[in-house]
Amino acid sequence: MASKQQNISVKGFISQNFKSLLFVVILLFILLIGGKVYGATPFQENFDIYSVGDLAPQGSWATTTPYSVQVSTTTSFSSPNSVWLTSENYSSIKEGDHETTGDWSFWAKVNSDPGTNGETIAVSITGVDYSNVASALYFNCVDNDCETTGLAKISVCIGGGSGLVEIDQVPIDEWINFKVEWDSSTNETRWKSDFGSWSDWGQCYTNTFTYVQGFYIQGGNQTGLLKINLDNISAKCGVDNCGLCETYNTCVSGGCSWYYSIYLQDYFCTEPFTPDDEECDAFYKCQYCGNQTICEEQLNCQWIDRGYGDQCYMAEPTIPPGQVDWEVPDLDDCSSLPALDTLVCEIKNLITGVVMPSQEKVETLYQTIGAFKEKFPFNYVAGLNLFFSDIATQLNTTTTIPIEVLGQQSNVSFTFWDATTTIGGTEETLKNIMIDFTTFVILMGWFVWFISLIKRFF
Amino acid sequence: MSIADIIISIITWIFQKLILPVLPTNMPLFSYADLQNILTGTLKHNIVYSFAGISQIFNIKLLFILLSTIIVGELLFWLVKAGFFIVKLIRG
Repeated sequence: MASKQQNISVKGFISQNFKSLLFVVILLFILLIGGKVYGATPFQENFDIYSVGDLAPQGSWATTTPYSVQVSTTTSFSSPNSVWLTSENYSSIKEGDHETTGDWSFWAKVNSDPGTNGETIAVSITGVDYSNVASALYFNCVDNDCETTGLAKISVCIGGGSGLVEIDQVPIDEWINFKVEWDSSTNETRWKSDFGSWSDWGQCYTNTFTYVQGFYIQGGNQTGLLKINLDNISAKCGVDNCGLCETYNTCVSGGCSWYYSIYLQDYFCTEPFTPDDEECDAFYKCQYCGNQTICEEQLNCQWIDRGYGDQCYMAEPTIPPGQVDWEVPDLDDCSSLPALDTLVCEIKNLITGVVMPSQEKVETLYQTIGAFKEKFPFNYVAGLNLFFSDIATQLNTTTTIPIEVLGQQSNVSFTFWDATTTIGGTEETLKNIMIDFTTFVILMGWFVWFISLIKRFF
Repeated sequence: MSIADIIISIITWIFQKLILPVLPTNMPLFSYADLQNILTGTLKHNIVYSFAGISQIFNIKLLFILLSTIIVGELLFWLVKAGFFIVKLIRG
């Protein structure tokens, strides 16, 4: 009886406070879904919503020099936009949340056009304002002519009193990922590029900072030619932020695991998983191989240390295409048509909308059918086809055959194949006559198979 | 969701839930990795080298191309037979 009364009172409480409970549930939902925090990063930016031209004052970006950094669609790490600046009077800064410790990741490309020599461009992380530099990374073409060597020196401000320390040389005209971590309790930072491991922690001169809030891109006041593009300023891709890793290389170099579904041809970066030898397989599932022996038995897998202990990785990362070439066409634009034509156009769009598949469904179907390529017997057939086509393209028709007679070495002479005769008024070499004859025999044999195949169908 | 979307959803569900999980990746006793090891090992080089001389008078390229068509043709034939078998199975 008491239990029943309790149940009634609970029901009564729920009915009386339904709106309040609903609010709490929605709030919890928002906190769980929308409030996910990707590490301590003052802000994230991909420049994709901005108009081409001056970056400042769009999106709270400001400039401290005559020219703002420029938004462009010419090149980007993630379409459509990136920003560029030269070593002249270009600069832009954006400030976000105050973070005493944290990290940032960004992508940069040193351009060979219009030329790269004798100048530097700095990317700084700043504290109270743009002059409170916590640390900086310099794209340096002062000591070497980047255009000639194809390499740009990367120096970072972690050397204490001596300032800059060179950490890497990176290729120009390629998008390179850079990462920085900071700790205001020690006034130190450390940096990393795709081409090296993390630098040591160090202070930038005697600079101190209580937090980092700004990302400052600065070409200084130089007259030489140096131009860089920047894109995707975000939290550092790595453990706990594996979902931010967009490529296989950034995923595994961040200590994460590369998930690949052989059924769905779907792949993404995920938090490190415990290898399971049952799942271990060649190419895309190397990371499931738990020990060296099993790893090296698989094709294109190697057992190496990429900074997180010995593990199994793809030797040459190959990612299957995930996108279908065909795109679902857009519906007609009826807005500019006269009244009757608009009606016809709208009806046409309605019918089209009912029968037209969505791009998402088309891609799912494409990936599902693509998954058959990995299954018996399709994978065996595809492997054999590739094998035969490789042989057909690699065959060398001008080789020699060495022989040794009575201790004398020589090559078999095939000059007799070039002897000519006249057939039907046309001069033909013996070689061509033989090839035509063997071709005829091969084709006849193939036709016999082909006819038998057709007969088997009926 | 359009009609085409619904049809595609049904087809992909059948493929993903009923057919793909049943199809094996490897043949018993002769895995796909074994086949790839053989094909990408010394076999290709040896065949290319062995047929290099004879290809002056024998259309070996055509032979290999036709061999590929035979493999694909036999596979298609097997698929059609499999389709008929399933139809018969459903009809009883």
